[in-house]
Amino acid sequence: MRLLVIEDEPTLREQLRASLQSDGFVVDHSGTGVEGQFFGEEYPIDLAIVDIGLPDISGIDVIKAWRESGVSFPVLILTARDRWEDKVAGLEIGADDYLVKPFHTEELLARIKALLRRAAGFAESKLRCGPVILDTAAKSASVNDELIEVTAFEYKVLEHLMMNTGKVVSKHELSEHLYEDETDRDSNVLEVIVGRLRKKLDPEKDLNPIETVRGHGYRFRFGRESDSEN
Amino acid sequence: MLSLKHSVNSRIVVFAGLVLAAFLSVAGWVLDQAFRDSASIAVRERLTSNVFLLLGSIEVNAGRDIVVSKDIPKPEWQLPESGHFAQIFSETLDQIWHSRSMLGLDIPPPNSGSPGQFYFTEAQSSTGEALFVLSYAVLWETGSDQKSLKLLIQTAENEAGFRLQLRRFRRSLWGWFFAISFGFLFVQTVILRWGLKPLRDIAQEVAEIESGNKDALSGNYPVELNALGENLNALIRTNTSNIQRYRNALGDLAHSLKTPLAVIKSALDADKQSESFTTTISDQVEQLDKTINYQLQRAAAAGRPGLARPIDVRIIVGKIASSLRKVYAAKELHIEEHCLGRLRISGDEGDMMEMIGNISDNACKWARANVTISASELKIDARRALVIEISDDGPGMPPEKITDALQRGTRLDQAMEGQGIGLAVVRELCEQVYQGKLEIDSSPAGTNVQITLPI
Repeated sequence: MRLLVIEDEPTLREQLRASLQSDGFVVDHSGTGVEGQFFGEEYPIDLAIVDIGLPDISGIDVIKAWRESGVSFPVLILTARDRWEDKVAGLEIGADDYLVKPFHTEELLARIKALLRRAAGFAESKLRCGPVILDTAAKSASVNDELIEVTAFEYKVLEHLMMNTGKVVSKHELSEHLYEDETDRDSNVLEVIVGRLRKKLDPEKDLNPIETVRGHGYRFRFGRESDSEN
Repeated sequence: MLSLKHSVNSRIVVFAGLVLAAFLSVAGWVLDQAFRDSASIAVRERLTSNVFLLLGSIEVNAGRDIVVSKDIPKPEWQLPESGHFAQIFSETLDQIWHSRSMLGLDIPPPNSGSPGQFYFTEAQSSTGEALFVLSYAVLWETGSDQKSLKLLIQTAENEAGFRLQLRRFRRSLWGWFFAISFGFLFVQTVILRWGLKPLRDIAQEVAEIESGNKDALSGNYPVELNALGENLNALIRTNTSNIQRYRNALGDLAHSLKTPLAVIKSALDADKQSESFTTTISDQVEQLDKTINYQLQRAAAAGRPGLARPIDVRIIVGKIASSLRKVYAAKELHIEEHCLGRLRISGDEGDMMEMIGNISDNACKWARANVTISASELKIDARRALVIEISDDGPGMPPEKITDALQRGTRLDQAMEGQGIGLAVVRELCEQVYQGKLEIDSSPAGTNVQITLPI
């Protein structure tokens, strides 16, 4: 999952980047509103964290510009002021959640994950797609209620495929969301990872959860089951 | 006197009326005196000419007897009760002659005065009639012995005619004065109403601004009021922009205070030091954060601005509800809005959002499945009030927390251990800034918070 952090305070920005990266996210960051807005429009961002009090243009304006140009990823605003007027203004303009400074890193991570799940159409912290369940809190996966061992990178690939279940995800898109630098991207590595995932998820070769769409990419086959339907 | 104190119009009319009454009284008195004087001069002249008329009719024969001609050209003297009289006295004050009109009537004789002098007096006849009397003493030279004879001639006239004339004059004088006064006061009232119309227009426009039908004064006033109109408009403009400006300043202050706190907190989360160190710093950061929040929120309270359009609480409830639906989407809460009535209150939108937002946020935090935000208008003791009620189906608040939250004067740093500042801010806004009431009713089945604000 690729996140964008727009925060003008360099120390806080660096701390955010470090803690988000250590939690497995790919992080783009910017210290100004204008640059941040550009990143949001140009990069395949999954979620943005925007500080309202930016030195050049306000975070509210950044979100407004995104929403007007059709950028639809979830946005979490960071605000110093605990005033409802500001929160409502942000949420009205198109932000999805807010966090008041100072905040606990765990709280921020929990909010980010909840927003990402919600954007993908999952209501609770476990993503259920047919027999496959991905626990986003524990970062674990299970098939037919049996826990399977996945590496951190395999988890990321599976999470991205399951968040976009039913849709075709190209190798290019996968690598964009999983790597920060273009130089790291290697489609052969992705093929190997997907192959390993298939073996782990479907050792009997009867489920075929990850389909290959020739010339396009991969597709997770099982639809999502939200809590309310169970 | 109440209307006198509160209306420029009636002040001017009443005082102008008093001045007019005083002026007309003096003028009336002067005119009355002048008329009276000229009327009495006329009486005196008539009596004087009567004296000469009588003198012309007297003859003294050889035996020094006085003979008065029978046909004096004064018919009133022949008629009884005509009101015109004449008599002649000798030097010894014996009545020598009297007019026929004096039959059965006595008029006291004059004090003998020096000859050739007229004495004008008022007297009463024996029947009590009020009379003007003119006395004249004359030395009659008799032809034979060169001895002169002193005669006292008196002519008199009933005062009734004079009084009647005076009464008529007074009646018409005061009649005209009253007519003039009423006319004048009426014209003055009309002029005042017309002259003060621009002031009434301003008052009307201010009322329209306060009821939300207008944004500014039209500014179409006479020169004298132009400055006032412009100043009022400027006041209306700065009123809102000032609040906005200092709120922005407070926002910047919050930003510059809170970002370092966020850095500290984040650093503590990332790099675990010894536990006591982390706890100490973390507690202090928490305390600082709360103090900053509380004081900034207090400072940002705007209260009820004058000359501002009332705000629509329905819109605010809607905004808060849709914001909360977004924020608590993962909880799948059912957030309901009930708005009844006009729901307009003179106040600040930010303050209203703060009150409704904080309480609703609390409700959403604790609710199991349902939160209801309702607003309605009530009449309490003939005063209209806005009632905002927020209820949830959460586990309820412990009683001591409610007491803490509702107790007046509890200071944040004393009472807020492990508790948000939301309720304290709401209580202060509600009670101190808006003179309202905050009530909390909580049971294990849910919490119901009611904010009552005078409109």
